[in-house]
Amino acid sequence: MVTALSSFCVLGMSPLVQTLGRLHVAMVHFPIALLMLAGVLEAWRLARRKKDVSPTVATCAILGALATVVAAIMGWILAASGQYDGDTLHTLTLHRWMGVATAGLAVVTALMLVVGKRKQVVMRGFTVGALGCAAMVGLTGHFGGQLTYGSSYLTELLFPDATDATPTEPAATQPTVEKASLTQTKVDYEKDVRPILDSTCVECHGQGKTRGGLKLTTGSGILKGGTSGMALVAHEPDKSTIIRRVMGLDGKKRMPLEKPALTDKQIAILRAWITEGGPVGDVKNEKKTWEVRLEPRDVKLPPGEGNPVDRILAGYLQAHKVASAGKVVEDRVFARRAYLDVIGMLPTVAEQTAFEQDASPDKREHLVDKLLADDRRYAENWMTFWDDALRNDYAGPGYIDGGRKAITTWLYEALKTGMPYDKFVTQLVDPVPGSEGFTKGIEWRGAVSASQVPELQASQNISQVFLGINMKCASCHDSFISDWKLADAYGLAGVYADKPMKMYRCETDQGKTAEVKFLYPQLGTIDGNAPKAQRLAQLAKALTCKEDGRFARTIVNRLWERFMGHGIVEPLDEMDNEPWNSDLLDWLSWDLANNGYDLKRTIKIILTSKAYQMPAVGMAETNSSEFVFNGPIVKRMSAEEFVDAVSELTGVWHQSPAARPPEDVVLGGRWIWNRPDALTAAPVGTIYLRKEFTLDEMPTEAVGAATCDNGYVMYINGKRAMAGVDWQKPGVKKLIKFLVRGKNVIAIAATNDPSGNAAHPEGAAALWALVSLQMPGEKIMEIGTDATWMASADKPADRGWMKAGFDETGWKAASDLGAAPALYDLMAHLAATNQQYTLREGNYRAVWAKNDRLMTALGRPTREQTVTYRQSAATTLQMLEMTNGPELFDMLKEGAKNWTAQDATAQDRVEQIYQAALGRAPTAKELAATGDMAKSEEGVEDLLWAVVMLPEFQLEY
Amino acid sequence: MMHKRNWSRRDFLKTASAATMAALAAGAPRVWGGGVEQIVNPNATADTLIVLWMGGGMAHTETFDPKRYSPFVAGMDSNSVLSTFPAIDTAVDNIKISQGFENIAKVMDRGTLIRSYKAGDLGFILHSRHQYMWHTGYAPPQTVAAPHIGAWIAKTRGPLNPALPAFIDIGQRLDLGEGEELKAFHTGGFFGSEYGPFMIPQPAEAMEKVRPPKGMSASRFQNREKFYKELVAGSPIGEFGSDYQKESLIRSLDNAHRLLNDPASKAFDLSLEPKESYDIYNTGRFGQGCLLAKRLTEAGARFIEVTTEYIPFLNWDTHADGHTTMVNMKKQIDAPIAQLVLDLEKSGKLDRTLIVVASEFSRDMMMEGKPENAVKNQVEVPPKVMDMKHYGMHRHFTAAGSVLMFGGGMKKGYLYGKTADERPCTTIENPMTIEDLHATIYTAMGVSPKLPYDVEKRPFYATKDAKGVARRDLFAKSLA
Repeated sequence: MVTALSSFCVLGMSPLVQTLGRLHVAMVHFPIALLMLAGVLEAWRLARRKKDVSPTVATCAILGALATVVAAIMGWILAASGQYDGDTLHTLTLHRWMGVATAGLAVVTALMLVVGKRKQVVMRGFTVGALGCAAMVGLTGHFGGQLTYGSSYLTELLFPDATDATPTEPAATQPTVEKASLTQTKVDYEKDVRPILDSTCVECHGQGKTRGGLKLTTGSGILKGGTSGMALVAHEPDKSTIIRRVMGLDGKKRMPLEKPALTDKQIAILRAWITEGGPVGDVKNEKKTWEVRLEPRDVKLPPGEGNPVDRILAGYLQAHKVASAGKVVEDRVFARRAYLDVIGMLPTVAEQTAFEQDASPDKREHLVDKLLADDRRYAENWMTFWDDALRNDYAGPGYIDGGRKAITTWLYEALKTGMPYDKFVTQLVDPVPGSEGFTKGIEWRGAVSASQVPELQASQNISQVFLGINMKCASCHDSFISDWKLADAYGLAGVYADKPMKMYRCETDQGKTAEVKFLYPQLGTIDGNAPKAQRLAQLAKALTCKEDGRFARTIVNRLWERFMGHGIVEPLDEMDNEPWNSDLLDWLSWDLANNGYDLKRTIKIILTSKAYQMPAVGMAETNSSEFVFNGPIVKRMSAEEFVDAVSELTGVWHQSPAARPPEDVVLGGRWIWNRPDALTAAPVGTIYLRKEFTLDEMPTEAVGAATCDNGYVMYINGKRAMAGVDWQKPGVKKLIKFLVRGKNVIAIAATNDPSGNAAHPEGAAALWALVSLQMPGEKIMEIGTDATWMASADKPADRGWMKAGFDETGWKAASDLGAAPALYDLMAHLAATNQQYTLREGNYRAVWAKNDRLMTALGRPTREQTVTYRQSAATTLQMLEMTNGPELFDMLKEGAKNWTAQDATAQDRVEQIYQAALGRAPTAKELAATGDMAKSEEGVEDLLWAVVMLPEFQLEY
Repeated sequence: MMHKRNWSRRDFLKTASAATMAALAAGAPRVWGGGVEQIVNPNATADTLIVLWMGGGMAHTETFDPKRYSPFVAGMDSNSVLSTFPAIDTAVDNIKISQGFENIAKVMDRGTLIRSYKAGDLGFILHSRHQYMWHTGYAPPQTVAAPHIGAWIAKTRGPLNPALPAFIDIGQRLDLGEGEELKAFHTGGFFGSEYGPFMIPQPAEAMEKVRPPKGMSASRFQNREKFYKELVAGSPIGEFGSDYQKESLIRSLDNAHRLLNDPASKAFDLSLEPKESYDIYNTGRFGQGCLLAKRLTEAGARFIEVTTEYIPFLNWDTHADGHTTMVNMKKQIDAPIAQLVLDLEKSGKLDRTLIVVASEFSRDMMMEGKPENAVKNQVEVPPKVMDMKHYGMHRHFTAAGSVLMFGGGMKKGYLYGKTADERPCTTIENPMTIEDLHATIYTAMGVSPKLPYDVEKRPFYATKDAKGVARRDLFAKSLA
């Protein structure tokens, strides 16, 4: 029978058979009751010295024997389908063989009754057998109970000390068993276990309350346990209080009190988690549970030379046996990575060739330096990153009612000038003109829920973006997933409030006002009674102070993730999590904080490390806790990078951006006067200036702008067009109606009269004017003041000087006094007067354009929420957009025209396109596949499409 | 229950869908595992959901909940006007609806009419904000991007016919007034773009979305794809082996091509519809949208929304000329909705297709907001109606509203909820919140109203705080 059952087990059991096995626990009660009863009655008969075995005893003995056999078979099946180890296995063996023995004895006893009726000897045997069976079944039952309820079940109430003593031994003594049980399935603490604890336990044990002295929100708290001892015994779910209490064992009330019981599934997860060994995994390495640190840490670099990142990682890479450690990618791949990562664009063919041909040994470092010094393209690239994080966009909900404000110009200037990170954040949380938008938040029309008022939005966004703290839960109630409280969220929000904030918990007024404070009061106090301006300054100071190690760690971690595809801490917004290498994180953070918070410095350190130059690896299919760094992860181009790369390849760029960098709005035209010393020694009086020009066709629109120290009147073709007397307020006017096809003339009478303007030094005079003409075909023509204008100090005899064909005898060329007026005054004026006229044409990168269908499909977010990751996987809808959507199609169509406009053979064209797109020549196979398709415009269009769709183009290897 | 990580990597990449691979990426949402209660999605009574969206605020007293009729008389007291149309009989004895819905009246015996929808209290009215709330169940702003109801269904049920996008949105352009606000909820939200809408702003041009770009012949299109595959095969990047980014890219492109080449794509082509059928539907873009919805449903679409299109101050958003505008709006929707019901019934699809006709809120002549929570008026209403311009429901009323349902397991010829017969004609029986309306719709679609997804370790539920409860009364068969 045993052999048969064993082989059965090997074959694997059907669910029906397994269920039969599980019935064992119910079935065993029959033999226990029957055999016990038989034994007791037999003993009773002996005591009363009665002769005959009562019919009840006979029935009990026979039925008991049958039941015992059935129970034993079921038990065997159950044992085969369960998992037992250590002490449990030992108990099981005892239980199993005692059960079999009981069954055997019961059968023999019953047989004696049937066969040996009336035979005295046999009947004595029966009596012994019946008593023996009762004893055996009791003992077997005891071991069975131990298997189900644990060994201390019976004794723990009487001998509580024994219970507390048991847990300590097993973990140390059973290393082999533990290893074996770990191989089967893995439980992810964060994803599987923590949600269970959070939703069922921490309300009383950890989140504010620590009933029974137990705190289940941290690994150390779980290990420490509560007043009744350790909450769990590593690898021993059956001995772990946490399991026993949620199952309602030990005669104590089932946890959670007065709430529904945990489901079988949840208990199974907790058991598996404990079987695997502990709070966040690895207890066997004696590794201490991660304790999050606020203060910075000065990590001593391991001895040796070279990049600090590599010095720190040397030991790590060795310990993890990373095969590609020390390998670096070829120049072509490095250049592509560095260009994309620093400036968000592909290298041009010329740039790449120059780099590849550079023979200097430190050319990679030079390249990184060069790219970091490319201020404009650097800023344009990082704007995308910060727009996502700071929720900055050109359009979106909120703007309709003025419930939102863009920070684009401020952001661009801050990035372009390499503003130190602490100052950058200071200006965001304690705004300067232009940066208010970040903390202003997004307000929709109408009433807003208490947890989403702008002040709490600011609280959430500051916490998330700069400190990697999720304050979203705590904006509504004390968080279930962290220690942050409603009072913390409101404490920070209160800094931005104009009057003390009433606190709401889940939309219910708590009848108290929030106490203004920073999340980490040890970093600095905020005086709730101080004026708002002062509170903002105090907040900025506390947040960005050097003692705030978390501040530097958060941004360093974000940078590392941008370049390597996986943060040192993941997720990026949960900086409480354990880094895979805290020395690395802490060293880089310390270095940043102690070197003027210069992000470019950190970027350079990372990009010039050997770690960054390792071959790329595919995205890991592992849990974050299992992550091992073995090189940068293959990244997908962002929406903006892709569009820019296609623009570069096709020569087709955004022409009418939603915004443009301030320096691009520097206007044509120069300050002029009739003498070169006009800025210091211009006599008071009026001078006359004129400029003739020819229009072969009529413009569709014309806008004039002008200003003069101190006043001017502009005439076009003899008619008064515009005038101004305040040089600080440039005039702007539409001028199309004054213009004619053919010859035109702009004539300006400019006056230097400082008497009315005390603010301006005497003797200075200058004029600036610009007429911007929108010509058919999107072209722009500008007529600006410069040295080609003619000037005269003599008052003209008549109005002839204002008209074309005037004899300029006696007039002199005007003197150029310098560049056009400061941008901002004019821009402010343009905005104030609703002059939206575009003054210049240009090629713009995707970051300056409004989000469109193509970029939306490629993952450019609507920026209603802070975004710190973008989805990088391709999707069907995305590919549909790229396959037949108009935006990419039009770019490629135009691009094909540009490519075929240049004379080249089909093969040359393919080679050029491959060089431009992929930085390499096509292989023979690829060349063969293209055939002569590059001859025709359509063919080039299809070639361009296929190339930009290649993984090699869209992915960063 | 737990991650099984024992697949062979190659096998996995061969069989996994792009969506599955997307789920591997950091932060991809998955069902939250922390609840005390085990969430089991109910057995669906419908496989397809069609939302017919009356964007702009459809007045209940002018449509499916007619009250005392006051014909136009110059100088009439504004406060006396409840309905500017007489009521008409329907196929159901106890249900009368407004004149102009003669076709819908005939199919009312297939429908369930809810007269007690109450919109949320969002203060000073912004249509797009209420529409956001109707479509996601959550009022903006939110700390996480709330997914559209279509995305919830696409994510939870997946496509019905894999050759069709699971979430199709017909008729709404996003570059008009309040376009930015509309964009905010026409998304897959935190589920990601895989579950976002396949937008067809112009139903008559739907075919353009599923065929080669304009000006590209079918053969050129096919050659282009073939050529692409040759380049992929020839690319030395193959040496790097497969990784998930690359595989997802190639696979998604394959899927896109499959969709473009699949016979199911013919469903997008309205020109294939017989003329007599086309003519019944062709009352304008909404009618064409209904026809497209019919064709797509028959081809196996999962979720379709067809809108009369929300454009500020146009269509249902009557700030003036309410009565006159209503005449036109009814003409637009009456025949197509009735025909959609009849056609799906004929093709046997109606039983498993839930049609929901709804609007973000209702309108009234006098009341802005709710009787218990009035908000700032947006329209001046003279005390006396002197000309037709002022004859109609011009203010935004959030205390009542009609929702009409057909098929998908709902009762037939059933009336639910009641409003007062005098101003304010507010809900007086069985008030229906967005949570419960969604719960009812989700239950029919086999999605638990308590279904949570894990977002930043927090549960985000199909209905707000998992509070939505399906109204069992509305279902034809009792729910298990």
